[in-house]
Order: sequence, then C-alpha cells, then structure tokens
Amino acid sequence: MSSVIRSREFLLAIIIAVSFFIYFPYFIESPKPITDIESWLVSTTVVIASFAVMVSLYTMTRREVMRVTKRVKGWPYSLLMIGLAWFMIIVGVTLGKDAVAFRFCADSFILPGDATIYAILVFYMTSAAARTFKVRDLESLLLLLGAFFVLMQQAPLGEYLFPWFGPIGSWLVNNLAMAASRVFTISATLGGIVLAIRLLAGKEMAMVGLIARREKD
Amino acid sequence: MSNLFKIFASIDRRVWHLLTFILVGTTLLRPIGLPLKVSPEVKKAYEVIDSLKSGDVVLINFDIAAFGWDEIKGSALSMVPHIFSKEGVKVIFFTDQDQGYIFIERTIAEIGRPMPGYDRFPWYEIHGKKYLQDYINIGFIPGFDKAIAALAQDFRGTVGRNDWYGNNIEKWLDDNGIKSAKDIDLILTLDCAGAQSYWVSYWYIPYKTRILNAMIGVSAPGSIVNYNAGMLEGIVISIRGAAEYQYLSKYYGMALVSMDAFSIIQFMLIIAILIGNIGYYGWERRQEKR
Repeated sequence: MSSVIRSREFLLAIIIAVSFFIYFPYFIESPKPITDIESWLVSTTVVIASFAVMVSLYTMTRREVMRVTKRVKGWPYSLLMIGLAWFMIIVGVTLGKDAVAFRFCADSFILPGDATIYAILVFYMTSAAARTFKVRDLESLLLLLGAFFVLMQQAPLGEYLFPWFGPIGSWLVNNLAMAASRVFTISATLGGIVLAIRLLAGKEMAMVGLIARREKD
Repeated sequence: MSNLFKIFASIDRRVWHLLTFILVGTTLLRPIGLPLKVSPEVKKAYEVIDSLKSGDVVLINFDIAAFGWDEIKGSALSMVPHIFSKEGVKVIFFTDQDQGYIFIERTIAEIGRPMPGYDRFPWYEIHGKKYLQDYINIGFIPGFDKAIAALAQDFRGTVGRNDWYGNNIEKWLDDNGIKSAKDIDLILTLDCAGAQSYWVSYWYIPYKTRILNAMIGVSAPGSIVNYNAGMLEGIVISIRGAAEYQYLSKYYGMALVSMDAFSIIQFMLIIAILIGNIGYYGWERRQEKR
C-alpha cells in the first residue's frame, strides 16, 4: 500500500485530479458536483495551512537547536527565539489566547517590536536618499524625476505650493506605472495559466519533489 | 566651494536620522494644519459606504499585522465607524492575519464601548449596534489566500458554528440570510499584506461583490491597478488617504494630524536627494575622475 502511495503515478494522478477540480470550474461554468468538489478542496487547504504552521514550528525549533548545539555565531539569539516561541505556544495552548500572560507578551513585545522595525525604515530612507539616489546616467535621472513628481503629488504641501506638479504625478502613476504594473499582472496570470496546463498534463513535478528524487535515482 | 561640496557628499547618516526625528517629532507635536485635497478614489469609497442601505451585510477584513497598524489605523478608525453609523447595516469582522484579531479588538475598543452589564470582548456596542445582534467577529482563519478562497466557496462551512469567542453564530447568520458569499453586499479590506488581489480573484470575479480597499503605501500599486480596472469600488491609500477619509467622514484622528509630518518628511527626502547629488557632482565625481 505504502509503495502505491509513494509511487510517482499516484502522486501525479492526485496533482492532475486536484488541478482539474480547481482550475476547470474557475474558468468554465461547471455542474454542481464539480463545484462541490472544488469547494471541498479549497476548504481542505485551510486545514492543511493550519498543519503547515506546526511543520514550520518543528523546522524552526530543529534549526535553532542545531545552531545552539554547534555554538554558531549569534547562538544566544537562537536560544532566545526558541524560548520565546515555546513560551508563547505553551501559554497560548494551556491558558488560551485571552490569558493575561499571552496578551502581555503580544502587546508588550511582539507588537511594539514589529511596529518599531517598520518605523525605523523612515530613518534609513532619508539617509539612503542622500547617499544612494544619485544621477549617474539617463536612466537614474528618469527614475529620480518620476520619484520627484510623485512625491510632490503625494505630499499635501507639495500639491499646495506647486499645484502644476499634481497632474504630472497623476499622469505618471495612472499611465506609465499602470502600464508597467499591468504587464506584470498579465505576465503573472499567463504564467498561472501555463502552470495550470502543465499540472493538468502531468509535466509539473517539482512541487511533489519528484524532480529531486529522479536526480537521486 | 569645494569644501561645501565635500561636506554635502559626506554628511553622516546619523545627521539625517537626527533631522528626521526632530522634524517628524516637531510636526506631530505641533501640527501646522496644511490644506488637504480629497482625491476622487477616496471620495468614491466614502460614497459607497455612505450609500449602504438597511439590511446590507458588510464583511470587514483586517489584513493587518503590527508593522502596518500605525499606517492603516487612520483608515480603520474612520471607515469602520462610518459603516457602523449606517442604520440597519450588519457587519462581520474577519482577519486573515494571526495578529489581526488584536487590531479588530483595538478598533472596537476605540470606537465602541462595553454593552450594559458587560466588561469584556466581544460584548461591545458601536454606534448603538450590539454584538450578536448587529455584528459578529469570526476572527482569524489561517491560510491567507486559501482562507479568502474558502470563504468564497463555502462561506458557512468555513466560518463554522462559532465566532472567535466560541459563541454560536448560526442563528445570527440564518436571521440575516447569510448562506453563502453571494449574501455579502460589500467587503472592506484593510490591507497590510495586499489581500485585495485575492478578494478580487475569489469574490469580485465570480460574484461581482463590491470591494473597498484601504492599504499601506507599499501595497498601493496593486490596488491602483485593480481600482482603475473597476474591480475595486474605492481605495484609501496610506495615511494620506486615511486623512482624506477622516476629513470627509468627520471622524477626525491621527491621520489628519500626521499629514503635516508626512509633507515635511517628503520634502526632506527631496532635499536629501538634491544635497546628495550636489555633493556627488561637486566632489565625489571629480574625485572618481582623478
């Protein structure tokens, strides 16, 4: 039985079946039994995503324990990370997400720390603006001009002092940036459709590790 | 003169950091009150919420993590109370981020007050709307895009029987006629991680559900594309958009106050780029040529 489950053909059959039930009803009006299976599969991914959290916890713990035991550079941070992560898990699972200790850790460490790291960006941005945004060639000049007009349009003071910059900034955002962004979106979508066709044809094997196994074989 | 160029080319980064700190701090503590122009996309978002009718069901997604809260909270604290101010409108809170429920509660605590006889969540009253009568909080569902897709495919099955706090919500959903995604009239997604593209893929495209989106600055390009394509009804971009919404809805707050700091720091960025380039052409480039 286990050899059947681990066989390439079985995994391939699952990929083709799942791809069919997910992609087909998205693009083509399908009968209810097919859309029901689609719904079930999508709901199942939510359960799988929950289990994925446990897998990530396991791999994180394993990696950090190895760093500590091998005393690699910065190992005390690994120790701190394991301690804090497991403290949050134990408190959260045993006392619940509304427990005072859990909320205290979240409100006093995680949230301010997370917000601080993001807020620090403003300091780096200003010093980076002076040190790195230099007009070395035509391309960088165009990039800087674009940034200048958009900044002027975004800042209320810029719009107030130089109202004629607003339309230029809007034109850049709504035309040039939009065109580039749509190229990206359309390319990604076409890539998605190609992936769907490859999955349905059984050509996309990397996602189940079959390519790695083939190389090993 | 070359000394000046040399100074410009070698300003220590800590000088920029200190200048940033002083300018932002000063303008936050003493706002100047610079004029603000309301953009058409924010006006559209305001009009969509303002036109909500009794019986409409609004799903509010908190795609919010701590890093983006300070940037998005201006939108949350003006758009959410605006929705709650509309008579007869029912609201479902949801989050696709593990930290999101904290910000749902913070928002509710800020704009509401505990219901008589209660002192803890979820029993809060917002603009006269009571929990489990006018609104519910289904909390966090893991999977991010998968959760959004699952809600679209099988809303009741994904939500389950209970809310985030373990209260049975089946009767509330039945009473308000919410059987599937088709019964949701409007989605407001407050984004830090760009969830709007998934709402568009799984909700707008199959069901034509109306979607409003407020987001942090880095997520704006994707939202603008979908707004211009007509897939988002209105967008509120970063603190600037939030300030405009606060001005329109009259739920004044920190977004409006921080607009001056926003302006000042953007001007400082321009000045920093100018100084950097003057230093580069007056000193660095000459040194490179030698």
